[in-house]
Amino acid sequence: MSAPTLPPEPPLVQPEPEQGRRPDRGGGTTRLVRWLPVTVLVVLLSFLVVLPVGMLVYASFSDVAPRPGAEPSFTLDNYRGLLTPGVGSALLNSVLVSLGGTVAALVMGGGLAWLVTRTNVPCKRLLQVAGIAPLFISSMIGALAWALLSSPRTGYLNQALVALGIPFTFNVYSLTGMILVFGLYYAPYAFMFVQSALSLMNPELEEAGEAHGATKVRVARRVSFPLIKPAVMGAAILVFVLIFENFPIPTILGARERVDTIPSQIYRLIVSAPPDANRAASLGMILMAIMVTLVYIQRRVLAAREYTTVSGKGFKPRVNDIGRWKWVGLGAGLAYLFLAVVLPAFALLQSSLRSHQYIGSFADLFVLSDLSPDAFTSMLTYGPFQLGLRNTLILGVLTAVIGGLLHFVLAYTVLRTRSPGRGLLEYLAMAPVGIPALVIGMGFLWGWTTLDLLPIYGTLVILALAYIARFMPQGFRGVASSITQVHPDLEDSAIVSGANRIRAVWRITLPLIRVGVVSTMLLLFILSMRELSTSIFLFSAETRILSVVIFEQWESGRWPRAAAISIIYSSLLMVLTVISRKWFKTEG
Amino acid sequence: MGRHNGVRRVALSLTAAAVLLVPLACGTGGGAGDSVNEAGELVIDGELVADAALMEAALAEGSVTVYSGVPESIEATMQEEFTAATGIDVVNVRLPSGQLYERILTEHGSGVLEADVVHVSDLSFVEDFRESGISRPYEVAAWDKIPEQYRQDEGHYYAMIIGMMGFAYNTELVPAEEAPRTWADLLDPKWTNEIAMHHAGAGGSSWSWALFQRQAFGEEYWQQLAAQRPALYPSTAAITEELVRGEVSIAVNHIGTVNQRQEEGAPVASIYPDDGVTVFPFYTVQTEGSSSPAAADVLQNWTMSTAGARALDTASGEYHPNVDAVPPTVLDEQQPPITDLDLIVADEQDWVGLRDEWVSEWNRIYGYTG
Repeated sequence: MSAPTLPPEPPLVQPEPEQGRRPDRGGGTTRLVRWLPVTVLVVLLSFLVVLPVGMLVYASFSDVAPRPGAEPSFTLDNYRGLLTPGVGSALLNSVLVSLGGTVAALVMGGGLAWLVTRTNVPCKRLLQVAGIAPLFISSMIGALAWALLSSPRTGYLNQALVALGIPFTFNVYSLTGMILVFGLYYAPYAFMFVQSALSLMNPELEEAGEAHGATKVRVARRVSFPLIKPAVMGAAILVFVLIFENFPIPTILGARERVDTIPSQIYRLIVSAPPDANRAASLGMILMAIMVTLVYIQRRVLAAREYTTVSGKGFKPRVNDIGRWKWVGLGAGLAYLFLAVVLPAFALLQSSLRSHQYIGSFADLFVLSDLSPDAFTSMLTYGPFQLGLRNTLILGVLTAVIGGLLHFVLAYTVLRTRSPGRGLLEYLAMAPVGIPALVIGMGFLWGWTTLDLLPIYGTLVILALAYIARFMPQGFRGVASSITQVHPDLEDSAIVSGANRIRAVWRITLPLIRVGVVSTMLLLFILSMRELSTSIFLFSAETRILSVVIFEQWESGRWPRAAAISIIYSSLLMVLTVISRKWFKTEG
Repeated sequence: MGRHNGVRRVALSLTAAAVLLVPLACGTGGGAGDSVNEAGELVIDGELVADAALMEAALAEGSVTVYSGVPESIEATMQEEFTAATGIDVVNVRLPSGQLYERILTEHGSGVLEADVVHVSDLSFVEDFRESGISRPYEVAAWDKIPEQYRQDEGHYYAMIIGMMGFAYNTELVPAEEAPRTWADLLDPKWTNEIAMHHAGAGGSSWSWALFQRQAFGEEYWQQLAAQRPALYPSTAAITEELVRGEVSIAVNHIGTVNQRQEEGAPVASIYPDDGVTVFPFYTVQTEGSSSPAAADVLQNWTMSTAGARALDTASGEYHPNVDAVPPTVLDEQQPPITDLDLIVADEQDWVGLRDEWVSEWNRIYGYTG
């Protein structure tokens, strides 16, 4: 995929907007035509972005949850209620797991990217796959698998250590454990960022360094690293933000040792009896404030990238011979694949084949008579699974198609028109980076039920809209970066030759950016199929999706089913992605 | 031409997706179930559960949607039996207590409440539903067989499961003779870091035993138990699974869930504590303005009948309020008559009135942010 996540770029709308933008042939453009598209888009984005955030702010200052018929009073108690040691330690834990997880993800993903892009490590194609494959395992499924592998007493890995006589226990129900799991499943983001930066780097700069007598290490330190530093920093902050807002991993792995984070506390405040939605909203505000600050820093860091010479075209990355270390590199890459994919798949398979989960010793894992495929065969008649599968696929397609169209119109308006308010549009489109997914879910729920705008609550439409809002930054950036690669002169030539604007876009621009747009749509498809944090507040009896069904099964203690659905779900994601990429020819 | 090819591929893919999804979208459907007689009545073991007119209307509606806080494994077993007997499908949505409550209020306020029936173990919630017009009063067919303490005067809600909180232990890790028998036994140092239990705000069940512990043994009991560093979980099922896997040896838990795992062959067993078994009813409530009122009536009748009691026995070996129901069996062993157990039923005013303050205090003592 060419647009894995947020490509690290500075804002698209610059103060000096002339270069690369279609000159507006003002003569035939009425004021209405100039204002209408932007107004429509701003209204649309307001519903998607401003409404949920507004509801959150409102809830955080109210004494009852925003729901129809409620009569709230203004209060600051929700914020006063946050001044507890529990919230303080959750905040500290959030920072610690996010920092640790980010470093782990950068080391694993960045290291792998460097091996694949810039060294002569063997089996590059396999390692390339290793860098991306964990994306098909959502963080929730990763957490479930690692709970099976490394719970302190009976985790399969810890049982293996006991069997080998090694007096060591790796307890995944701990800060360190969570950091490892975050690192494993967020490493693909670092991989994609760093790989893209490394492969775009002009090797002539490094060669110049060497020609002037610098050692390889000195070149790496003084030339290579400074060149990719902004991309690495951008990736680091993004991964930090993604980990910071994640609720499934701390909810699944943190309960045993009471390692709370802010998102796991928000979730618990909502599900406890009696629930405290208002305090959850005020915690959501804290989470959002921190994320917005971080995203702001990210934008500042990325703006600094302009002085670099990463220009994106015409280079072939230089490959360094790392001698015998290449085998060490291969080993490290394979170890990552093993920890992130192979072992978790083994654990899920084991769990799915057992009617109950007690394993007396490591050897018990291989007693075949204990295993049965019932959990898989029961899926054929299990209504929630079938409903979830259908809804998940429909939502994936809806989000990809509607999202793809919206992002194209948005990106085109921002980049290729001189409409007023383009900056605001871009700002709104990028804003969800700083909005926690849980908050989008709560905001949509409260907004659409309280204001009674359209009867979409309880339908797949509200989920699709929430997904489009949540993944708008990725979608918008993905399409926008494709559009910037096509010079406006091409489209203008068609107009000069007599085509109208729509025909010119349809016949010239769209075909040229087809790969980028389809890649972005595929990304939206995958991201929405993995979604849990927003859906958990919006699903209804008839709109359950697979990730919700898995979470429900886990929450109900049905490990075999949770594991079986996880395996089917991750395999489906992988197969669909591979087929789609071949089918739409988005590769190479 | 590449472009046309690309567009054609997108169109083809969407068509293929639509074709593939259509079969998945079809419901199951079906006729009357095994226990509907030729006259169209639902009669199970001689007990009239629903008359012909009600059954006809219910079957025309086809399905009933339940929002449930009952552990999904128990609910699923019971609902399968209900569907087999009646031919009415059940759509079950399992939700943790707080989320269930919030969702019902929100959906009701918006006029889009999807649930026809609600199962929840929280007296304050069902009282709220009654006061705010969410619940619909209904007199079940077995009305006279349900003792007054297990039904609301106008039939707004009924206790459908006499849920009990007791102890459970992993039989691979703890010999039966060493398992705790009293609440005081849980304070034995050998159980430090070995106990899994709910946090007090997890739901009706956990609040019931937290209230009992404090009222029976004083606030210091909370402090002593907290010092044992128990693992705290939000749901019965999560506790049971940690116990089954052997991550802890002891659990304070919903006995029915443990029974069910035991029946499935998991190495666990439950104990009714000698000095008090906390009772927390799961209530069943019908909603006002439901889209399947007849199917909801049939479900309610069936749930409160002896057939419902037998299904509950099959699912989790738990006690049912219907006076004609026999005590349940666990691993083919009939449980003692309910009158033999030292049942602790909380005072309703205490249960509702003390909750917010005491749960906060509990959270403080356990260092838990609820």
